[in-house]
Amino acid sequence: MSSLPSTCPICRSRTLTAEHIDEHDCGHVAPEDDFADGCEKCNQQVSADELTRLQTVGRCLECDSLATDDFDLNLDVAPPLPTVTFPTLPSREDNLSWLPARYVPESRLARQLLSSALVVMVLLAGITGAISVMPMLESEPATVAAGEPEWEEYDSIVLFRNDDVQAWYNQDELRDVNQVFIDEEVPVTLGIIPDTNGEAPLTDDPELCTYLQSLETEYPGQFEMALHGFTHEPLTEFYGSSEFGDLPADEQRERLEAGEELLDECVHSPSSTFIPPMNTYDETTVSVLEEANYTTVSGGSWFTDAYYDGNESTFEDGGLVHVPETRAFENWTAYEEQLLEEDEADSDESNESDDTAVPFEDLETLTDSFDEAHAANDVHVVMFHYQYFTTDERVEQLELLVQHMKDENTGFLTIEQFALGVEMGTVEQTDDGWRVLEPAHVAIAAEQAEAAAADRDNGDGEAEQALADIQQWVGR
Amino acid sequence: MNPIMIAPVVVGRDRAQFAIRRLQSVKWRSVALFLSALVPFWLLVDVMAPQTLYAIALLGLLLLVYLGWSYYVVERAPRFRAVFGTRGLAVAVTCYIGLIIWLGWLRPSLLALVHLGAVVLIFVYYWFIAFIAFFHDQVGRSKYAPKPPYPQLTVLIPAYNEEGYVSRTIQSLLDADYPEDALEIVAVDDGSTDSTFAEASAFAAASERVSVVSKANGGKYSALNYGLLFASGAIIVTVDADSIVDPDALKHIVAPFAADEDIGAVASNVTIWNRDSLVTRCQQLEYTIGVNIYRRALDYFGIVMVVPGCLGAYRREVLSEVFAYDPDTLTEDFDVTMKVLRAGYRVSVSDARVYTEAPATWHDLYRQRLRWYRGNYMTIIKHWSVVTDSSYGYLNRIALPFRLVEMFFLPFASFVVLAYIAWLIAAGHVLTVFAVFVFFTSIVFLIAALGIQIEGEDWRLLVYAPLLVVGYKQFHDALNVKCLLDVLTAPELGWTRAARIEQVVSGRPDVGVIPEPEAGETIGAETETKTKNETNPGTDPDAHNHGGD
Ligand SMILES: [Zn+2]
Ligand SMILES: [Zn+2]
Ligand SMILES: [Zn+2]
Repeated sequence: MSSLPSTCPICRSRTLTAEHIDEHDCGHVAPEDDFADGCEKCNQQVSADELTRLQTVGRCLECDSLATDDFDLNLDVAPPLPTVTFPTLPSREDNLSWLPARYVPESRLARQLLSSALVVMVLLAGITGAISVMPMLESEPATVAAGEPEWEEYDSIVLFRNDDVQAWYNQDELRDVNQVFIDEEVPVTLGIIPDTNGEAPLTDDPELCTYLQSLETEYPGQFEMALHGFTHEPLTEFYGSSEFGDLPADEQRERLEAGEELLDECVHSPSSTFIPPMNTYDETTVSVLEEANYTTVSGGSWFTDAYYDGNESTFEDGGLVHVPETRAFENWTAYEEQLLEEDEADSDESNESDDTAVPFEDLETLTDSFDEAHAANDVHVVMFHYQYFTTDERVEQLELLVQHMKDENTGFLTIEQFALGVEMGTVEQTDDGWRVLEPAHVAIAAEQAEAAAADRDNGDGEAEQALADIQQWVGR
Repeated sequence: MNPIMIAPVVVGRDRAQFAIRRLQSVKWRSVALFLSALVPFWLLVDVMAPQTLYAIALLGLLLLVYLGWSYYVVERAPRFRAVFGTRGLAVAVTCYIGLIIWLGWLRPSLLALVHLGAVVLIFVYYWFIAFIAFFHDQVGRSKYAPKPPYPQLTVLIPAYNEEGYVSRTIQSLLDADYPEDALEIVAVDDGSTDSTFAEASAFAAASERVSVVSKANGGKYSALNYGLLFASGAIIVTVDADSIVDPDALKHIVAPFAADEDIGAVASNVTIWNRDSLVTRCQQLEYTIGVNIYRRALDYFGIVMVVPGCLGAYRREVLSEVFAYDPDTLTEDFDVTMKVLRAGYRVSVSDARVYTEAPATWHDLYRQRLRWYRGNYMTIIKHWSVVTDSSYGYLNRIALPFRLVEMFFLPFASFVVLAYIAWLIAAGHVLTVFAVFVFFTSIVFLIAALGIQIEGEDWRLLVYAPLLVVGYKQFHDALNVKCLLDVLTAPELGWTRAARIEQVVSGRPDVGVIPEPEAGETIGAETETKTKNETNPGTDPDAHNHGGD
């Protein structure tokens, strides 16, 4: 290949020499002579086989410019200019050009209005699209109503246990006490006696059952319906007295089943917590409960400390989580002393002793007790009996205690929420307290659904999981 | 930007007029579209699990700190530039993932990670792009207004078998609004076997400003290097032989050089003119919301990463300094831009417009992108040191990390998500999948509308927004994955001559892509290397895909 002109196009000199233009393997293009001392670009010595000849051109000896004479050399006569047709190029300014001309308005203002209308249409279409599918993303089955669980950090945990809920008995007090929890938005576990002394089956008091059911539906996750024995009679002298402790397994099982049956009929969803009357139970009770799928037992810490010989406030044993009460609202020691004194003073009237006579601990004792547990990042379980809240002062004392607790960074749960939460990982102990996935009942329900789905080995369960995943992906 | 001056005493009517003009200077349609594009995000935030939100916020914070720090060390305190660089960022992101798993904000699974990554990237990319585009539009298109004196310019047109096209390109350059005595056009015939040479020569004969040089066939890089020997201008403009240059383009593309000494190269805006098929319209939408706007964003840092081969400009001495074009990647435009950036020059974007003919069939598009994407990976591998060397400033700290995520994470993530969605459909959750699709489409739709409004594009392109979510997008992701594997599985590929790579990679006859020597047939026959894709005159690496997500 050659492109060597006869005259220099710059200076018209006729002294031209041939110059070879070569390309090195590294891509560098230069006159052949430039490669003599190696390649300027890659700094390598250059051998002939690494060079590719691109062209031979003229080098003017006068002005040193490179000269090609390509078209002269190849064509005797300059060819005619080809006719060039340009395609229609998209215009930048007028983005209505695609509209058929008769639809494009004449005036500038009208055109702008049309463009604006177009923008508004586009904008509405886009937003409508996004909004219209939102409910589909939101309302899929795996989502539990009530809002997304979130982790909350607490220094301590408080559980309230309201014992001895029973048919026909002090219903106004029960409502007053529950109202405190409703107003303060604090959850509470109700210990319900199915058939007090074998004389007052729950099912005979439809009003109570209706009331309890209304609590369940109106305040989801706030009232736990726990079984509190069967007849609540002190049948043995196990650790003082007990309805279950020391009874043979069969008998315990029968009492449990009989109680369950009544509670099932009375409330929507009985919990998996069992509260043994008199706060006492034995290992047989635990294994009977475990067989019956209970997850939690809540006795008294004075009892578990002695019987289980431990010092943990909550612990696992025999397949159950033990969450004993750690604080009684009533001052039972004072009450017993009072009874003894009354016995001595006036034995005739002693059996007439009024419920109101059961003294409460003073508020300071209760708050101090909480403060201590709070400082130790403990689980504080307060037991009380609604029937003794007979005066406004007494109800107010409960209110004040709850408010005192709420001033601190403490988490409130039902007993079951705490026990299941720990099991399922929605309640965790941390270095400096606790963290809880809240709302606790929602988080637990979700965990249970997930576990159930995982248990099922058919595609359905996986699909649920997958659905939950995709929802997480889009932000659910 | 509103130059209206207020007189000390303004009568009520003037004041009202002033207010009206102020309001008119705000581009309300863009404002409306930008704000509306936020609605889906807001909806997403609203339904998002708080943990996911925290996770995103934390990552956003991390990235902001990184960007802020990058700005500080590059502009103010270069002595710290090795501190918290790309490696630091990689470590920080790893720690971040560990942290959010530990905090329970993220389930420890690949899928959960990809999910989070997808959400974050949708936030970062779409929102970022939308914001930059919006900002650009409000503040004014370009900071570089063309004004005389105009520098001496040499336009190089490498051409291989461009019969019927090259004359159009030359004519568009001759028609361009640029001082006649400052413009020189050099067509480089790269050993064409058709009448390209004759066509160009006709212009050379008719116009003082046009000359034609010819050489033995060797490939586009070779043609450009050869052409440089004959270029006398201080500014070198390269134009593909099938492109049509806008009349104002030359003035616009030289403007940045006059404004800033540090600018070594200037990119243009690529527009597709043959919008008569689904394939080309998808590409235009891709260019509108991806490439052009993305480029404007990087322009703020002077690190525009690709000066498109369709139309680009370089300082003559900068090209000489980096020894112009190399033979070892398939995308010599990306490669030479990287070289200019690495030499320490800024690369900027201008409002110069160039029209190109896009591949009009899926098959042609496939062949074009096969070359671009392979070239992209080869170029990134070739310039890998930029990833680790903190002395490259913004290039190292911002451009490369973005680019790496785009090239190495997104295509794969896209497939994890796609496989997952396919499986969901199989499991019968069609409705949910549909809802997710509609949701993301509406995001892309609104962003596309913003891009169209800003770029003054055709509103009908909006119809193709769904394809950018499903279909067109996966086509590109799949190609990216394939190209990455191609480049990686032929180990010597990244560092060797493009032609050899093509031979190794394209064992199958179908894949016969660009600069492929046809030496196999007859030994000793002249080796023909295509300067460009011979079957389709619109398939040059003029603009690389920076698809929005
Ligand atoms: Zn060399
Ligand atoms: Zn001369
Ligand atoms: Zn009791």
